[in-house]
Amino acid sequence: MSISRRLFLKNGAFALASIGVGPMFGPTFLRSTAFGETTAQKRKKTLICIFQRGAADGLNIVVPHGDPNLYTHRGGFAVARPSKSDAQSALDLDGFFGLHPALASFMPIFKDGHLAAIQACGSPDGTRSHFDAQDYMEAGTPGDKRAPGGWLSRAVLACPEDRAKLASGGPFRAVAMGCDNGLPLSLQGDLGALAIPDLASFGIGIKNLKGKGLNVGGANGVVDGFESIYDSAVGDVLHGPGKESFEAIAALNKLSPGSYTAANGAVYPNGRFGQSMKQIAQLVKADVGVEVAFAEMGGWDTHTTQANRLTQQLRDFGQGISALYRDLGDRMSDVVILTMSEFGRTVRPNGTNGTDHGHATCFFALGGDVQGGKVLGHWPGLAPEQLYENRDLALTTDFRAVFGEIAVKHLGAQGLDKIFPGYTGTASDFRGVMRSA
Amino acid sequence: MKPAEKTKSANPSASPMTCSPVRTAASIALAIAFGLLTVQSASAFMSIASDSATPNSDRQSKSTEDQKILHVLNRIGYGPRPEDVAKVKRIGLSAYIDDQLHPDRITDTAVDQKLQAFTELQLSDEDIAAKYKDFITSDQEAAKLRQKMRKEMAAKTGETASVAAGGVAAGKAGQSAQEMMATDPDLMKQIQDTREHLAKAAEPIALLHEEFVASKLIRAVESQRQLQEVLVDFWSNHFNIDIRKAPCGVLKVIDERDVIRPHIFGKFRDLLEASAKSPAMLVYLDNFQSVADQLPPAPRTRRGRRQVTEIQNGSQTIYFNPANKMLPSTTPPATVAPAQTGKRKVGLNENYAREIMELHTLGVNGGYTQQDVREVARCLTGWSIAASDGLKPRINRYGEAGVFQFFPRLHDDGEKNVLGHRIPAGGGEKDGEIVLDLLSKDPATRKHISYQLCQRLVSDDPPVQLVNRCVETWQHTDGDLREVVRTILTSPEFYSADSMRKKIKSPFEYAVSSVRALDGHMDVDAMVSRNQLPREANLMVRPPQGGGYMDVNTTSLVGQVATMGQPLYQYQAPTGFPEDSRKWVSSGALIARLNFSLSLTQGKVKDVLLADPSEDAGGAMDSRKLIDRMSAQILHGEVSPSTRATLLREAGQSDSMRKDSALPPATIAALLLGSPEFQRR
Repeated sequence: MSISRRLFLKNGAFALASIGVGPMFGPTFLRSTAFGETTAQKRKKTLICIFQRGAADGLNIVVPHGDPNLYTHRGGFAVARPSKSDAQSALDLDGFFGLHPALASFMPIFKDGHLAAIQACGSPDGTRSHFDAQDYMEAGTPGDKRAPGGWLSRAVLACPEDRAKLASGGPFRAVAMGCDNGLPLSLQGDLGALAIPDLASFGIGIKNLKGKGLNVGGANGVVDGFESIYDSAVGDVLHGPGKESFEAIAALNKLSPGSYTAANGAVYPNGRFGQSMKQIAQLVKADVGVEVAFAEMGGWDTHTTQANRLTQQLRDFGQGISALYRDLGDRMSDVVILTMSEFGRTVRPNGTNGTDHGHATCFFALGGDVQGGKVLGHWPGLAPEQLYENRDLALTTDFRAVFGEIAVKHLGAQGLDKIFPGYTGTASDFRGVMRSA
Repeated sequence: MKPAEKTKSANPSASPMTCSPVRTAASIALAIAFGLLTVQSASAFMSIASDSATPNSDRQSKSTEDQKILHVLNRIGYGPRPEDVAKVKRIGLSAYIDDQLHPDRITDTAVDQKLQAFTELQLSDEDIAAKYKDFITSDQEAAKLRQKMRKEMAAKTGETASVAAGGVAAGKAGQSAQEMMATDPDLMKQIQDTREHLAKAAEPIALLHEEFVASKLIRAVESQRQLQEVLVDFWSNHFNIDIRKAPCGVLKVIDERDVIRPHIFGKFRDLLEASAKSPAMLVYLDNFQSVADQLPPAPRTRRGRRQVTEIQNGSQTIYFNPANKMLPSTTPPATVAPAQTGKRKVGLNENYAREIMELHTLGVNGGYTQQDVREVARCLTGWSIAASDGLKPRINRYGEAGVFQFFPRLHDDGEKNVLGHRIPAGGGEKDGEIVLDLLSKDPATRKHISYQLCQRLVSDDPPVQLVNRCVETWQHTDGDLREVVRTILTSPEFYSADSMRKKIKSPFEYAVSSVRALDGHMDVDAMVSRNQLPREANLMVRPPQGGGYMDVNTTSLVGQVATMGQPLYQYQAPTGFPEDSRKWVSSGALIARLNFSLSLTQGKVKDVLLADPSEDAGGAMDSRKLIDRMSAQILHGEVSPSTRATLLREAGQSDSMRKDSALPPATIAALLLGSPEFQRR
């Protein structure tokens, strides 16, 4: 046990040591150089998911300015129709939809055809509980709380290649970066994912005064001791996390995450979300085998004074994602960034200049293989009789059709029903988020 | 090694302040090393050790009574201090539990004394409100100045709309502000003065926050009334409030003191009402702003203008004018300019109505509908906060704490129907009371909350029959929370093998139980440091929103708890931190815990005092003995064979490398605190 474990650790470290030194991480993956350089060889695909927790108001994000009912319901609360003379007006996408002006950073990506929005999307389950709705979306099973683990974990394991290497995947194959509750439900399950609060301080030891690097002064042997204790705690629920932790630490020791410079002039916004985006970029670019990464951003539950709050939220959200997109550069041909939120918000504003819990909302997908430059999905309309329960945007795209399309066409997963137990949808429900191969 | 009589000082309640605050890292490392040795070597402790826990050979013969006592100390408290098992044995387990259920019977002098240092916490609600009035004045000054600058800038650059709306073109505006300041020294000085006033005025708020958090830690670490502290934590988390939403940083102090703490052993109905009327809750879940959708026109003031109330929320101002209600359906879209959104309609907000049912009472499957959410929201319109003039529902960032008041004019007085129960028109404040009655009496509430209490105290998947018995107790005691907890603590399920050591500690439980296991105490002076106030004050004035945490200084215990993933009173969603302890298990979280065990044992957590280093360690002890004794103190004989083997192996490696150097005690302590066994309670 102990011997094979040591060997494995060595192998893991060896894989990482290859960064900047030379070739080879995994059998299908051959690279001659490190960091940022493009290569024609086939890379492992990566999916980065971003959860907007709190229910984002899709109607003021991808604004259906061509639907007059929007302004009947929302009046000045809606983002104004596109107008060159008004900096607060929507940025037109296709003559019918427009982006919230705080998402200006998305415009060039949209124009390049690498960003798509999916409007009137979400969960077919009607709950207006944040917590249930988030769980349903992350489990991939609307209305069913019994599903074990999350859709993202199952999606990776539904890739034939991954199933085979379940026992030997690298520690960074599935990563949750900077998430509030450690490992989000999306990544829980058999895959074994890593939750990293902050890459720069991920390790064991005590930070020196300047917060740079870690040392284990006065505690020699303690790291080995911890590793050994958790290694031998087989059968304990903490055994798995312990194993993953030590593998990742060994790997990260080679990375020096403190000294990272973004490429292509990308500038990440301050704050936790920007930091999560940056650190995901860093891991992806380090070629440590990231297949799925997950980050989240709170603060979307805009019951009051929505206008200013949403502007602020969207600015961080847009700049964080665009910086990640720019920073990854040519690598975006192997990466998809997907955003999601548990539900949308009421079509009519509430009594406190905000909106209450609603139904459908909008997602974004970015990537080289994303069929961008379009707003996808079917517009259900906003006439009173078209609303869901006479108050919310109706749903026309089941989130599983979007998640599923990306899992199948991008990651190479097989079997939608394996990823989403109980789902009867098929490829014919896909919305054309991905270019066909 | 001299068996020192000094170990009597291992009784913390008798003389907690005798611990000398050791400052340098090196001496703290020594303190732990020798402190542990000393405590262990003391005759008094050895007598405990020999019959309750340890040397490993005794493990098998350990009585179930000891296991039960350990279990109780881990569940109704924050883990045992070294002397606790013996103490409970002396009193008798059931007497101990009964005392814990009646905290007023327990003397807690040491903690009482420490808390006396916290003067801000003892102010009345009104005094707190008054004391922080200064801050409003300064804040208003700052707001006026900002407005003035905006106007001047707008005149210069013509950027009115964007700057006023929070600035999509903030870069350009920021630039012109810089230019203005550079060319106008008077303005520059005014800005600096205003900033200083603001920071100064915020200091009492920062002090209040520090005292508040410090008192929670002191009570958890040192109080004899452990169950009380566990339950205050449970209920405070059940009725979660995020202090980063202004002005909850001030209001939560009152909430915990006057709403949660006095009601944990009372009737649930009383607790629920206290929470429904808690200014902190009214702000956190927006109910203070929720008013009837159809309001009569407001009376005109003498000047002929309709009365407009301003509501400050973060950096935004809401003009709250019941008469100036905008009806969106009649507003032609083309003529609505964004600037007009400043004056808005007022009306219903569903937020609190939903969460009081989903989270505080019935539970998400508790049988309510969207229509019920709306009806409950209507019943609770006008439940708000009065400012110092006693009239307007107004809130101003950190300043105006305010007290609960019902405003009949803002109440929807029509007929309602809640959960199939008709509430006739004209009920006024009674409407809300009826809702609280309905919710507290509902069978779904009994079940939902009994389940959660069992989750906290027994197991992540509580046995159905135990939950049912709690529901029965609830039913025949009309929601007496003391009796519901008693039902749990006297049940066979509580003591079953399925529940012992089955809960993973939350980061807070882990940190506090670590300090207790090392017989540590909190250093009041280090916790509330007036030198640091300007920095803290800044945080309190502009708390990080949407993710960032306050209190992340990792040299403090509260900062360590935050780093491990549980920033106290800073959970954004109204669910509070999870009661299902499996949610705390993840690789990143585990690493943070291992780092905590290192920091603590190496003396890097500066507001924790560990035992006195001045005592004679009595010479070297061989690793095996040391490991067994320390395992006894920290894990009480619950050390797993594999952990023990690892420790011995590590020690063996040290021994073989250098014959005379054993594994340092601080390292052994770190490994034990970081072991899988100690992650459980």
